[in-house]
Amino acid sequence: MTQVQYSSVNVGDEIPLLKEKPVSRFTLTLYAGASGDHNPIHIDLDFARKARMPDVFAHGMLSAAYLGRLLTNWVPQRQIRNFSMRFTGITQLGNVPTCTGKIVEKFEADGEKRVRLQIRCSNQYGEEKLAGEAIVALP
Amino acid sequence: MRKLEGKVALVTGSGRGIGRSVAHQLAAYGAKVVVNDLDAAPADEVVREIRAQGGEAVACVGSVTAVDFADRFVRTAIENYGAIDIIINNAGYTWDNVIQKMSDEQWYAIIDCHLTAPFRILRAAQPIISAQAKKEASEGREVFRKVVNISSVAAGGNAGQTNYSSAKAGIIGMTKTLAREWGRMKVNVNAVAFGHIETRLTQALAGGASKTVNIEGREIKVGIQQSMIDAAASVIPLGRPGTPDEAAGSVVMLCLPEANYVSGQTVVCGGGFGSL
Ligand SMILES: NC(=O)c1ccc[n+]([C@@H]2O[C@H](COP(=O)([O-])OP(=O)(O)OC[C@H]3O[C@@H](n4cnc5c(N)ncnc54)[C@H](O)[C@@H]3O)[C@@H](O)[C@H]2O)c1
Repeated sequence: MTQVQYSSVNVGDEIPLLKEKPVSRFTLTLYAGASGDHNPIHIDLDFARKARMPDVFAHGMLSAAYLGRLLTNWVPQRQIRNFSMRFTGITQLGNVPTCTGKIVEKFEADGEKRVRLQIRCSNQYGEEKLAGEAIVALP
Repeated sequence: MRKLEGKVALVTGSGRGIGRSVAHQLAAYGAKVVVNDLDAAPADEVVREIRAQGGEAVACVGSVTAVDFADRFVRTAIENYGAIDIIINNAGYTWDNVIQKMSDEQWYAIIDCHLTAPFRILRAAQPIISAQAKKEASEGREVFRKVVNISSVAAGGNAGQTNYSSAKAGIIGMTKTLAREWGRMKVNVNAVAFGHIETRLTQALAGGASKTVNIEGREIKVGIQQSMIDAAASVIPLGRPGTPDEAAGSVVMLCLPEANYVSGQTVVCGGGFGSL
């Protein structure tokens, strides 16, 4: 990975997009194991139906993890200073998580050069599932 | 005559075949159409064709079996045209086998597409239709809305189609039930059961040849051997299979104001063949 330089990025730039595979039951089972979040609403169809949902659906934190991956695909993890988000929609089975990030500010703080990014995870239909912000230090 | 001027119609599986003809005919009557298909290219093409003829249409691509499809379909209509007036549940295909060879996957794929998807679409549309109807009632107006569910003469039984015939019989029950539930909202809910209509599903195959289409990653056999088609035609009183335009006509006639007092019925469109 060639290192991203503060001087080479501009406000308005998009960072490289991250497009994941469609979310399947298998994805959700693996994520339950990896995260320790075993809430049956994400893995057990019978349970989901009892809760009046049509089917199981993705853990919110799974999309958050994809947003994290969007950032760490762009810069090394140690450069991430802050990462916050809010959930805006349910990610359903078959949705293709698509993460984007845009630089909205360049500034200096604590003696280092930083950029503020607007980050977003949506599905293949452009429906937003997660929106947030990240602050990243750049050399 | 623009008898459906300004009406908003949602048609599933309207990228090809009968659904495509339904979309075109509704547009020609003045309706704004939400075109759906599994495949983006044919859906976009139908939208382009309707617009080229001065009509209004928008695509909502994706499988009707996706969990979030119904909401997205309804939202596409509301965001683009602000209302729902006509819903045609047409998307579908066949995946045949005798019962001892029919897998659960095969059973559920067909039930999901032909029965669960219409159920979810109609459920998602209910709050919107109800709000529209309440408003019109408070203004002392009677505005009719239309649902046409596509069934098949196979609902009356057809060897090799346990899944499909069950789904197509099921949709007739759903039609009759909703005609009762939705009558007070002035919705006419009817079904049309097709006989043999010439489309991709029923295309003629030359001796021994086979053809498949890709439905959600599964290769599904389509087409009928020419010899079978010839034999079938001999029992059709009108002497030949129907065209997609003829099939669509029987759907669209139920959407016209002339049919406002028809509800809970199943029209058989089979050239005189088939009864339910
Ligand atoms: N052709 C006949 O003889 C016949 C007879 C009886 C009933 N039908 C019914 O009429 C309807 C239309 O069939 P047709 O003959 O026009 O077939 P067709 O294959 O020409 O067109 C059907 C369209 O629906 C789409 N579709 C299939 N599965 C879908 C899904 N899960 N989500 C969204 N779109 C999907 C296909 O991509 C296709 O474009 C079907 O419900 C079929 O069962 C047809």
